[in-house]
Amino acid sequence: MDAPAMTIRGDDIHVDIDDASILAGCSFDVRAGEVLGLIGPNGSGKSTLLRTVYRAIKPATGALWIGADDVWSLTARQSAQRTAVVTQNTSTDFHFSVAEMVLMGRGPHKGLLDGDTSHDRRKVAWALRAVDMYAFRSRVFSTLSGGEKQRVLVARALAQESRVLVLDEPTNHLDAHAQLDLLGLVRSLQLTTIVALHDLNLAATYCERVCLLDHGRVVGIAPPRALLTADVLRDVFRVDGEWLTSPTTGRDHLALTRSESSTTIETEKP
Amino acid sequence: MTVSALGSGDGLDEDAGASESPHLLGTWGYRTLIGVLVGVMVASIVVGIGAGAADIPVSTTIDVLLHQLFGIGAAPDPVAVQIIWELRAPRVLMALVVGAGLSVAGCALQAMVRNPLADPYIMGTAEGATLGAVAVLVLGPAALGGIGVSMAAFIGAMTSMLLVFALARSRSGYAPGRLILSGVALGYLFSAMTGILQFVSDPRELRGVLFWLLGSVAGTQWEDLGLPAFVVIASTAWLVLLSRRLNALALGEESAVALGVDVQRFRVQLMVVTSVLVGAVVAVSGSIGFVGLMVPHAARMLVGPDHRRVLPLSLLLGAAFLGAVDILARVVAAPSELPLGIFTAAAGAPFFIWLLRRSQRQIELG
Repeated sequence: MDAPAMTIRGDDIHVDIDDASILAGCSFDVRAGEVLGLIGPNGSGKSTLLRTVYRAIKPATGALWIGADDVWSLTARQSAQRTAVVTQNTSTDFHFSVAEMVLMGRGPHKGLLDGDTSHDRRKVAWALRAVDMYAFRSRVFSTLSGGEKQRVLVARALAQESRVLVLDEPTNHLDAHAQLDLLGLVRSLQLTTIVALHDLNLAATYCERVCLLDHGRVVGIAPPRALLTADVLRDVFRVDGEWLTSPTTGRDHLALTRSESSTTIETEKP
Repeated sequence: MTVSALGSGDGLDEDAGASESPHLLGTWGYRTLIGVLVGVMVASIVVGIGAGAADIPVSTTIDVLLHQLFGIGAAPDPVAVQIIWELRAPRVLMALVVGAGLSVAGCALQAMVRNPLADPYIMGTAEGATLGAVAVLVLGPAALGGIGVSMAAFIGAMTSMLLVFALARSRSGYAPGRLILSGVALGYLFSAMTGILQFVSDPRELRGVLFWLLGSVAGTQWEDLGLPAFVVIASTAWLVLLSRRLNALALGEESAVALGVDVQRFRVQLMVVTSVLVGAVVAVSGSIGFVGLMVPHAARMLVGPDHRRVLPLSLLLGAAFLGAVDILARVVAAPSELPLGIFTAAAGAPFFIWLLRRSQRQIELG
């Protein structure tokens, strides 16, 4: 279980869907144990980039490395043993219990004839306790609130015992408390994590570094305050932004207002 | 429910009883139910063989069965042997096989399209199979390159399935609602084509085709039983082995990929297996709707959506259900027989409406 964390590396990834270029040469890396925030406007290619990480999309050219292996040299099952995913809003008409949902995380480790062992059930119990959802184990997943569902999916990722975690806008539809709660939990796991976020302040608070995408290209990867300069914010997000430091917590926050001038300014390429 | 102190015991012990699970039956309930259903099936075979136009006592039925199966006891009356062993036993077993097959196919389709409202008839799969079968019945095997009814039914089912998925495809994958709608539309189209074939068919053949279309296992011979029985058992076994993948697929394509399922390949495998299943069953029984919808639902209500339990339970429930329907069909208007499809539709249509209304609300459990 305590195997060393893995790195993720994307090399010049191109993805085209229906003749439209969605990713046009993305290179990035996620360091072992780091939480990398993936930010960018709607349609910039965040979800697509994440999907290349968990082997849901094969890039037209370029390669995605998890540890020392190209994900496409792994089988779907091997990839799932390394990488767990918290998908955007999982809803289902099938009324799986919370425990059954988390138990599915054991699937990638199972052969066709393997039953669920007491080891599996212990893992599930452990994972549910880790996300503080153990008391919900016999509830029906589809009846939970958005925040509770996301915690269960994180528990499933834990039960999967993967070393890489991918989250696609996990804070959508969550209230403020649940947002902070979930990202705090994700950080505490110390897994190699890549998380797509819409809220730049959440990214600034919970990620050492952020990767900014725009029109299918990586604008830059750097600590939030270094990357999200006034010029970049205006050019990519069309907002005016100012970094403020909280006098009580000492944390950096981004104050945003809608940009009045929509004239484009040449982006600095870090 | 007692919440154990942190660290003492894992609390997820599978034998901890129903309180650990939101589903009606826990592990022991499930096992007991399987045992009970096997008993019900054996009983329904004996009762089913006894029921019909000619009144035959249960003791005679048991004598004939013991003698034919194990050579126990004196040789019974040849007329009784003829009725019980040659006429009734194969049809009773066929009803069980067909009920099981339609139910298992329903389970697979519902997981595949992520919609509990799917079934071979709603998805157009069975209509495709029907078109293939009727084409052979009406036009003769020679007109279709010498293929048999079962093969034609399989080809029809597979064609329908491929078309449904092709029509429902979009950039973001397959939306469950769109899959159902494509299935319904294609089902109507195939039914219309079947209608045209009936219209042009010889009036003498038509009566047989019509009766077959309403669903019946009357006139089943022992040699008809082998292929569908094998297909139902083999495909159920295959699906049970892959039930973790079915569970993952029921959550959606992205979730399935995230859980290590090669979705493209698995979906193609499922299409082939379901088409074989539907083709084999429809070819021998005609149209028997709603079984594939109702039975998996009943199974999920009892044991929850885990396919490792839903599939075996659906197999047995479906067999028991259609076995019972077949007995009813012979008893209600004896000495004439009613088509099975009438009964399943009469029970199934209200069930479907209830389900539609229910699925609009969130269920409240736990």
